Amino acid sequence: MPRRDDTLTLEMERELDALDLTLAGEGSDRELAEVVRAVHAERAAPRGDFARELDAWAADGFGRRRGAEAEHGATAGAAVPSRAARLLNRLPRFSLLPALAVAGSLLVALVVAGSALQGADEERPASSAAPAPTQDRRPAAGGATAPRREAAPDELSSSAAAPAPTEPLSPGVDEPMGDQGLDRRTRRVERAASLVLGAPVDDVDDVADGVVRATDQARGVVLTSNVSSDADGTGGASFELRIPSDRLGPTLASLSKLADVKSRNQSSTDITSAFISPRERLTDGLTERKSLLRQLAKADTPNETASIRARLRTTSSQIASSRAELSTLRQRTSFSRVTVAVEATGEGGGSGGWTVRDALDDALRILTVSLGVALVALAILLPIALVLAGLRAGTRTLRRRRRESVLDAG
Amino acid sequence: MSETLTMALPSEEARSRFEELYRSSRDDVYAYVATLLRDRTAAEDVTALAFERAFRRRRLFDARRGSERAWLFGIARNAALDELRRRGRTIALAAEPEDPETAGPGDEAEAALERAALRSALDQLAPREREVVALKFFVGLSNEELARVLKVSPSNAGTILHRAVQRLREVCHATP
Repeated sequence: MPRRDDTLTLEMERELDALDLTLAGEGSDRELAEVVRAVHAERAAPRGDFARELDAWAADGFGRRRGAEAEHGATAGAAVPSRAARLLNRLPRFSLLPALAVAGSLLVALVVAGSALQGADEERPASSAAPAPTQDRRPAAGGATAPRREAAPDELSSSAAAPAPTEPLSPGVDEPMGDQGLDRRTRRVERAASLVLGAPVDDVDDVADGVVRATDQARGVVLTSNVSSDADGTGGASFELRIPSDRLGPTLASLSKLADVKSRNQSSTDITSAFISPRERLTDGLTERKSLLRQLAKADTPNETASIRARLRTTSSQIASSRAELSTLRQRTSFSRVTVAVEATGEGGGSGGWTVRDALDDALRILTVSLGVALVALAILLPIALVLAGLRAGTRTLRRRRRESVLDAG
Repeated sequence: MSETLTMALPSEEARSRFEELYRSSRDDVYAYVATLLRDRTAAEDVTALAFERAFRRRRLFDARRGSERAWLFGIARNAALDELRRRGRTIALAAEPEDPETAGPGDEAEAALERAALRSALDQLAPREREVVALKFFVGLSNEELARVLKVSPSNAGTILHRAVQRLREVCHATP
């Protein structure tokens, strides 16, 4: 390892200059000339045979000496390098790591670009991506307003397709329903959403079919639907849906993929307090009915019996009313109200061809994606390049030190 | 001029330049490597290996980073150090029988004493100093070329060289 004390003084420089002169045969320092002569006498000269052999090899064009590496390896006890190792040896070593890094980064960039382009495709209008329409849910088009299958809100509770209510309580008759029955930590939330989609007039029907399909997949219900398309290129569709609250998010995502989303609103209202009053009334009514039934069993006179029966009828009516109110509230929380409007944008769909504007839009999209890919690639490449540069410098230093360690050991 | 010849010309030029480098450096490389390895047989192998490597890598030579000779001796140095590492030991040159081609038949006693003293002094030099002596005295590299081969600063190379020469001076001066 080089010494740290490497400052050349003026005197040392003069002496080194004198050495150069002496080596050139022009020095005046006799003592130094003696040293030079003596050291020169120690200079090893190659054997004549070896020199001739080497000259012959040089005259032959410096080709790979047959068995040279093998001989050398045998002398040194090292293995003969394989063909692959020799091929690798022929490559400039410094170019391997950066080349690998660039290849890796390009691969990552390609994957990112592929994902980005795929995402862009998914966000396109559903003119080509929309699935085929179902036969009985297809809305009528051609200028007429076609009502879809409509379900009354009451149908929700009896529908087999409807999911279980989100809250754990069931409207059982005799279950305790005091304040302790209504867990105050269980929030009752009513959700609603509205979505406005824009699609070319030719695609409105397909988008409408997509809305129905998405509703079916979510086990929701189409309450009302209205699809129209006029000869002048205007038209649209509107839907009122009930979607199980626990599937609202995925359903809205599916609906949003059907066409360009012009607006999307979601709201939620806490109606926990609205549950309390009917529950209390129900509990009171049940308690009163029990009491009246006991009184009825003990009634002695016809008048007393008639009076109790009349009060029982009133109480039963109150109980039924409270249950109906609770059921309505439960439906509001179990199902979310979703309104979907599909607006015709006036542009032709797949049959309209590719316009200059489409081309400009596509060009802009491609430029944006390309820029993003370039930025991502740069963000990946830069640290990798820095790390590789550091590794390369470290490796070279380490290799040099290891190599020179024999000098320090000697 | 045909296209084939035009394309072949740079390669021929490079080969020709390398031949010139070989002719001017063959004995110097051997002398330097022999000083490092202190083993004539190993020095022959490593000399040949160094030229072979240099020929394979001749297109990587960059004149902006130093002279061709400095580049060649850098390769020779690496080959020699690798050989030393493989061997894990050094064989003293003094222990070898003297080469009849280099041994003077009529050495006088005084001259023999001087040579023995100097050889002893060379043996006592640190390996780096001995290496610098070989590169300076046997090969005739400039201090900048020395620094390039040793991968140290010119100032550092000069310091090592100065220290080695001082020691040799002391030995030669002390020899009666």
